[in-house]
Amino acid sequence: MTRQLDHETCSTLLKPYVEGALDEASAEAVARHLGGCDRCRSEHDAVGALLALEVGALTTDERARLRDRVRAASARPADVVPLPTRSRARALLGAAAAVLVLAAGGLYLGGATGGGGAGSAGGGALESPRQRFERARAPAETDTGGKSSLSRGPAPRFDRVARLGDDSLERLGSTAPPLTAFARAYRAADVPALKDRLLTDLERAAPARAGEQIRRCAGAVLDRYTALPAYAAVGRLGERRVLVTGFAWTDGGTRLRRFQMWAWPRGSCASPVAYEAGRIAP
Amino acid sequence: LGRDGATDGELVAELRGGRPGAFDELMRRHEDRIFALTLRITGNREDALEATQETFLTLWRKVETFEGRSEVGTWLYRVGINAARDVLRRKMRRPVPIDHSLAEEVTRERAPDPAGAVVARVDVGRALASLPAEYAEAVALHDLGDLTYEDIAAIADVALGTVKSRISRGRRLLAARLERTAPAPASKEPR
Repeated sequence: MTRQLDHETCSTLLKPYVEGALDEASAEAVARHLGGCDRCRSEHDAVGALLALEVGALTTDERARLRDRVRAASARPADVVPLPTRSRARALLGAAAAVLVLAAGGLYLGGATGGGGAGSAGGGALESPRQRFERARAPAETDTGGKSSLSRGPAPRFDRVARLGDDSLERLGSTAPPLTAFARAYRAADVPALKDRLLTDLERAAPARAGEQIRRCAGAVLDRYTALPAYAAVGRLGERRVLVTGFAWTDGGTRLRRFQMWAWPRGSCASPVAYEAGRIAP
Repeated sequence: LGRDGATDGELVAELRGGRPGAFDELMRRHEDRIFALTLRITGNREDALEATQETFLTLWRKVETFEGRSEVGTWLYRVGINAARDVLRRKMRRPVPIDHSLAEEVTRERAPDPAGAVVARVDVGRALASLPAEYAEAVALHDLGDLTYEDIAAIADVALGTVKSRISRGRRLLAARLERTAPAPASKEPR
């Protein structure tokens, strides 16, 4: 078979030709064309150079580094609120207080272990503290994990939840609400994948003993609910030394809609001493 | 969660919806191919890692822009090529780093002159990256990425004839640049 190739046909056959994937007749036709065509020979040389660029795959170490880097870059964009360090703890606790005041528009008061009731979903002025509390603590509307987690692990008790007093809040100071920036930065985040990483980051950023408590207290919350650990800080609430853990909650997708703040007595995760929840500003 | 059975398209939909693990699974499926592609272009493992990282971050950040005109892998390939080009472009003013692991590999498997082979390998990637974007992309997708002309036409949203023309022209440009950068035998320095 003597087939005459035009440039275009030869060009389309060059890669399989160099790879040795052509049938004999086609390979012969290509070879004959190349013998008399500088243009296609030039293409052939380029294909040969490109196909010679075979190299190995990712090594185990490279794969781990790649995944770490992608995870870090995707989970912590530049504008995310920094995690607390010792020196920032007080400021962040103040920020937490500011969120409580600004975002919630009022604070929960008193023991809320009752039967709840039909609170308005929007959390308006007609909603009682108890209703707001029950709505905020109900995981069903925000639990996106699909796991029946309510029976897992020791549940924090709520019977000693107390109001964050105005005096305490004032003492704690105020800065910009951190969760607004947090929500913005994490809007597209893969929530469950971030959870443990963020918790680990919080734990690492905290002083040793606080880190341990963060892991226990926040971990207990996260075992039950699909939320993101947003930050943690230590400080004083009135005369009581507390650890505040903050969580962001999704709307069932990737958007963070709600926050929850839990204040725990230092060293104990048996029962939070203060609690608040509200919507995250878009 | 056993995402093994999901198609790439389903995983993209899940990623958009914030379903757990979709991104990790997509990365697991495609990271080797993207790395191999970007390594061929950059000729340096660290650069290839950087380009691969950028590729998946683009997936993460811009998954909404994926229109489904092509396979996810094809789309990632295209992103990977551009990421590799960007990495090289950023490094153009710096000296070419010699990847010692690559040099060893070349010594072992391919060339009697490892240093020369490494330089040649880097040159090919650089020459490819220096082509006009539409040529570099078409050539890389076809010759390095094994994509068909039809696939490339679909993702570039151009006619089939345009793809053929770009590949042909891109290869010839590449050959010309390689020829220009190849050391002449007479200029070889005495050892």
